[in-house]
Parts: sequence; C-alpha cells; structure tokens
Amino acid sequence: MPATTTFRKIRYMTFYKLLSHFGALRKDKKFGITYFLLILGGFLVISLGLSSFSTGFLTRTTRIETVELILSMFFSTQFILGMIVARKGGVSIFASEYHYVACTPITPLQYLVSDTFFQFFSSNLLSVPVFLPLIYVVGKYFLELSTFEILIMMCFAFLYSIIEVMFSQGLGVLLSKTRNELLTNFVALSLVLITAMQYPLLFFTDLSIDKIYTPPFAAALTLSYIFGKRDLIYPPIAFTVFAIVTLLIYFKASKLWFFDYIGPNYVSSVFDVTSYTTRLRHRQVLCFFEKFSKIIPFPSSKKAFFTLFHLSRMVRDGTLWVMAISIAAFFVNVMFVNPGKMLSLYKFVNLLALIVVSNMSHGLLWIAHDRINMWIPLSAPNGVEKVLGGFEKSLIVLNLALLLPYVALNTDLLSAFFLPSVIALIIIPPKIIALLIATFREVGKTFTTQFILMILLSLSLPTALISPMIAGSLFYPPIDLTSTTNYLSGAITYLGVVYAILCLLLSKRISEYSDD
Amino acid sequence: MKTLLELRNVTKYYDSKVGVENISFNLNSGEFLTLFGPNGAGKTTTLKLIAGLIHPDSGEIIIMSKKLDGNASEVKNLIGYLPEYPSLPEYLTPEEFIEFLAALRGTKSSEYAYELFEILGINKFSSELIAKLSKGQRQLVAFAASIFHRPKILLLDEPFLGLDIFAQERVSEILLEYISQGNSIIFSTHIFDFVKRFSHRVILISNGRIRDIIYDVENLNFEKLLRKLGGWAECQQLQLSGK
Repeated sequence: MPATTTFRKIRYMTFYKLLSHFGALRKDKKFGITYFLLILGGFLVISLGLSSFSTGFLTRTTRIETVELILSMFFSTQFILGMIVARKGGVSIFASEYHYVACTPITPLQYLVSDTFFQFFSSNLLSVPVFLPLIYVVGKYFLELSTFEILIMMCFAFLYSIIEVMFSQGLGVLLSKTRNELLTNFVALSLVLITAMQYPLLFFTDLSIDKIYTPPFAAALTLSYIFGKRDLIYPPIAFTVFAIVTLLIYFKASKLWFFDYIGPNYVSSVFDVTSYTTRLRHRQVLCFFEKFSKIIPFPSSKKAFFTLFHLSRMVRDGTLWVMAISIAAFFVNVMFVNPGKMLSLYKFVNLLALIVVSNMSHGLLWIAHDRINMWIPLSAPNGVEKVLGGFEKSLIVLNLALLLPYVALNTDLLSAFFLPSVIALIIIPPKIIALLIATFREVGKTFTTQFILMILLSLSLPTALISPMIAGSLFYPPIDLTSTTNYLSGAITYLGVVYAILCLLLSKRISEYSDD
Repeated sequence: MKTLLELRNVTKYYDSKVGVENISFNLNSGEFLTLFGPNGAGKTTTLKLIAGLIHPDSGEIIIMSKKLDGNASEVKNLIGYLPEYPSLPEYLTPEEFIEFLAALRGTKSSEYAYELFEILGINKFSSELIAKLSKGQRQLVAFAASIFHRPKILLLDEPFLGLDIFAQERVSEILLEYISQGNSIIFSTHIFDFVKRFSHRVILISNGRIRDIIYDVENLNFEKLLRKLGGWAECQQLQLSGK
C-alpha cells in the first residue's frame, strides 16, 4: 500500500477520533467558553496550590530535590494511568468506530498509530494549557531553571508520554487477547505497585525527613541532563530497555485484529455521552446485577435494593477496581517508601482528598451512565427518593471500604480527636453527592450536566487540599500548617458550610423532583 | 450464477458461549438471502463474521475467491455493513462522515453518495451534526454509510428500524435496484412481511446453528414458518396463544 494512502488514513483516523472526543464543542458555543473557564479555573487553583507549596517546600529542600520530586510524580502518575487504560484493552475504541471503521480496509497498525496520536493529543490538549505556563513560572522563578532546562524537561515529558501510551496500548492488546481477566488485573496491578514504590507522596510526607524513594528512571534521566549528573548508568539503560520492549509489544499488537476481543470501550467523550454507549453500559450493569442478585438475594426494602444495584454498578464499571488499585498503591508506598514518616495532619488531608475525589468520580459515572434511565424511578411513586437514598448508602459502603484498611494502618486516626472527623467523612460526602446528582437530572440540555460535574471533579482534589487551609486561616488565624487543631477546625468548618449551602439549595430541587 | 460468498463450517464462541456453530452456506450474485431466527440465534454474529468485524474460531469465509483472514483489508471494500443499532459519530455531519469513510476506504466520496443523499432526503440535513438528527434520519445516514461505496455484498441487520413508511419505501427501491445490478444482500430481520417481499432464500437459524433453508419463499406462510421453527419455546407460545 502506498505510504501516502497510509498517512492519509492515519491523519483522517486521528482527526476523527479527536472530533468524536471533543466534538461537543461544535454543538454549542457554550462548551467552548466553559472549556476555557475550566482551563482558567484549573490553572488558578493548581497554580495557587503548587506555588504556595513550592515556596514552602524550597525553604526545606534543595532545588534539585524539588525538581526530582516533581518529575518522579509526573512520570509515575503517567505510568499508573497507562496501566488503568491497559487493563481495558489499551486502545480507545468509540462505538461508531467499531461499527464503521472496523469494516473498512484499515490495518491494525494504521489504527493503532492513529490511536497513539489521539491518546497523546487528547490528554495533552486538556492538561498542557493548564500546566505549561505553571511549569514555566515555577521552573523559572521558584526553581531557578533556565529556559533551555525547562525545554529539555518538557521534551522528555512529551517523549515519555508517547512511549508510555504505546506501552499501554501494546500491553493492553496482548493481555486482552488472552481473555483472562485475572491475568490482566494481576499484571496491571503488579506494574502499578512497582511504580508506587517510586512515588513520592508530595503533599502528605513530612518534608523535613530525607527522601528515601528511588526516582523512576525517566525522572532520573531527565534530571541528569538538566543538572549535568552524567555519571548515571542505570537510568539510560533502563530507558533504552523500556523503549525497546515497548516497540516490540507495540508491533506485536499491530499484527493482531484486536477488534475481535476489544469491543467499544471508550464511552465517555468529553462533555457528552451518546445514548448508544449509555444504553450499552446500562445493559452490562443489568446483566451483572442479575448475576450479583443470585449470590445475594433481593432485599425487600426498596432503598436496600437500590443500594445493591448501585454497588453492583460500581463493581461492573470498574470504579471499585480503580479505588482498590489506588489504595493498594498508596499502602505499598507508605509501607515501603515512607514507613512511619507521615504526620497525622497529612494523613487526614490524604483521607479527605481520597473520599472527596472517589465520591465525586462515582457521582460523575452515575450521571454519565444512569441519568438517562431516570424515567424508571420517575414513573414510580417516590421512586427518585429511593434511587437517591440507595445511591447515598452505596457511597457510604464505598467510603467504609476505603477507610477501614486505611484506619487499620494508621491507628492514630482512631483517637478521640480524629474519630468524629473520620465518621463525618463517611456520612457527609455521600449526602452532598446524592444531592448534587439530584439537581442534574435533565436529559438533552445543551449545557450538559456531565460537563458541570466534570468541572466539579477537576476542582475537587485541589479544593479538598487547599480549602480547609484557607478556611482555617479565615476562621482561626494565623494559619499554621503544623497545627492539627487549626487544620481540622478549618476542614470541618469548610465541609459544614458546603454541606449547609448545598442542603439549602438542593432540598427544593429534590421536592420538585419527587413531584414530577 | 456466480458465487460471491461462501461460509465453510464457521464456528465462533464468545468465551464458552456459542455465537455460531459449524454453519455453512453460500451467496450467489443477484441474490437476496434472509437470516431469520429468534433473538440470540446467531444472526448478528454471522453478519459480523462476514463483515470482518470478528474472526471465526474455526472454518473459512471466502469472498469472491479470496479468504477473509488477517489480511481482510483486501476484500473489505467488497462489503457494506449496516448494524442493528448503528452507532454514529455524534459530532460529525452526515457529509463529513461519508467523506471520512471514503478516505478510509481509499475511494473518493462518489457521485453515488450524493445521489443517495438526494433519494433518501439526507441532503436536507447533510450539514447538521448527527447528534441533532432524529432516530429515522440517523438510520438513513447509517444506511447510506453502508452502501455509498457500492459494495458487491451488502449486510443489513434490521435496516428498517425507526424508519417511517415513506423512508421504508425509498430504502426498498434502492435495495431492489441494487440487486438488479448483480449485487447481493444478506438481510437479518424479525419482520415476516419483509422476508416474503424481498427474499430469494431464507435461512432459519437458532442457537447458533442452521435449522433449515427455505427455497420456496413465495409459498411460505407464517404458520409454516412457525412449524419449521417448532423447537423454539417462544414460537410454541405464539402458536398456543393463536397469534
């Protein structure tokens, strides 16, 4: 086949994927404005957090250590995210591609290459505008790097991103071919856990203690180029081996007709979800629920029934797997990299972030996949209340599952001082999320509810980290990050205020909802 | 009559579940072949196998003397496929979608595509985003996307779903003309009237196996069909209820 035809196909295919992913921007101008606001908001919140962190951090560590820490976080995070994608096949296949593209004379290699570009561009189009200026400002003014050094750092980051996408695709396709879910999960989890041992806990570690993690090879290699530590042998060898292995599995995968064992797996385009994929997901959940109910009999209470229903969805859509992998990675990191080196204050911050983000993600998934089926409870008396009640209970179960192993390893969280806050964490976020999703029920609005939730989700982590500190400084000045009392007071005040406002605003909507 | 397609002992499993088992049949040029059977019988799997979407675990699929295997790209332009619930790219216009498919198929967006747009009435909304189209309009776009490159074999899985009677008639005319040009169609449906109207031959399929092949479609009536499908619980229930 002539090379021009091949390049033309790859170009068209990549463009098609990007259009499918970002296409909602074409539907309504509001999406474009909101996209811009998302970048701006994300930039402001993240810059605020990282800049204040960097200035505080630099007073206690050297700039080389700071750069190493940031790079280690970046490369490890990239790899862990790649493994989550690999577990689902590594290749992103939209439902329309499965029906139409797979029937055209496109070769697996052409498709795989276009997907590499798509994954690279789609992730960077959202993150680069947020992080690029930030990296430049932090690098230039706080870390005193030259423009050339920053440029090298960025080039390494982009190069690694592409190799990592290819590794995730190759591994994902080869693992999918085995059709062995146990093996797939085992391999993905093992690689995540190995990576977790190289992961610095940026926000949660006592900064005065010397770092004991080993930076990932890509971070070490970048560092050696920036700061001239050319005596390193291990990182270049490791990087070369990684690149060769990646190329080998990538080309092995490109020889396989992977549509045969990886169906449409890319259901959430940015800002919108098609009714087809929603229906597909819902059908899968229902099938799983049927199996689930054979093990645990249907409860007679409607609320308990819906709790079970939502829980089965969490298992089916992978929420629990992502949670489990995050917790396992965190524990491995704490046990092997930072044993006993964490302050209670940071444990609590971590706990807060974990709960808020996981609960918000769950709410987002519900909106994306189940919102369209709301006509079922809407047609039953008090059906919505039952569904939302069940949703809330299922989140409480999820939070308990998240917290129990965590608290078991950090027994000081059981102290009389921390316990009330921990209990509040179990109960309050589910209530807030249930109330939030109740407001976003309308189907077919141009300014989609999923998008609003996406903004909330993207802001939830930095908000969870920063807001308690801001609240603490407002209500209990002067702020002192080492004072647990101040921090906790701030955290509780913050959650309390948010909860009260949301209850006031949303309770009206709930009653309207039930009257429909 | 020239044989365009041949399936030889084709078997496909989904994990341990049977998709189709040991099915063999052929398709001649100018023939309209219908696959008829209950839900989950294996009709869609058969169409997906011929379209090259999935590969058989064993057996062979021969399209115009070429084997459909790993290098299926050679014969894929000979086939057009309309899925039962076609999923379209929501944020492309019908025009862009056809242009994109033409690029992937290595052909220019032919005059025939515009002719189809005209006949099917797609030209009225060809520059609208697919996300804004009605169910019937989307089905027309999906149909055009499966036939615009003039394939030799057209695979249709419930093509009339969601179409109003006028659109059904327009699609029917296109299909009859298409057949008259020596092309062939494999058609999967649950609607008996369509079976009678179009088919030259009917393959009865259930539980992934071919149960019977009916050649005398003209004299086929619904009761006769039910008798032939007597093994199906659903059909027996239908018979008992007198429908």
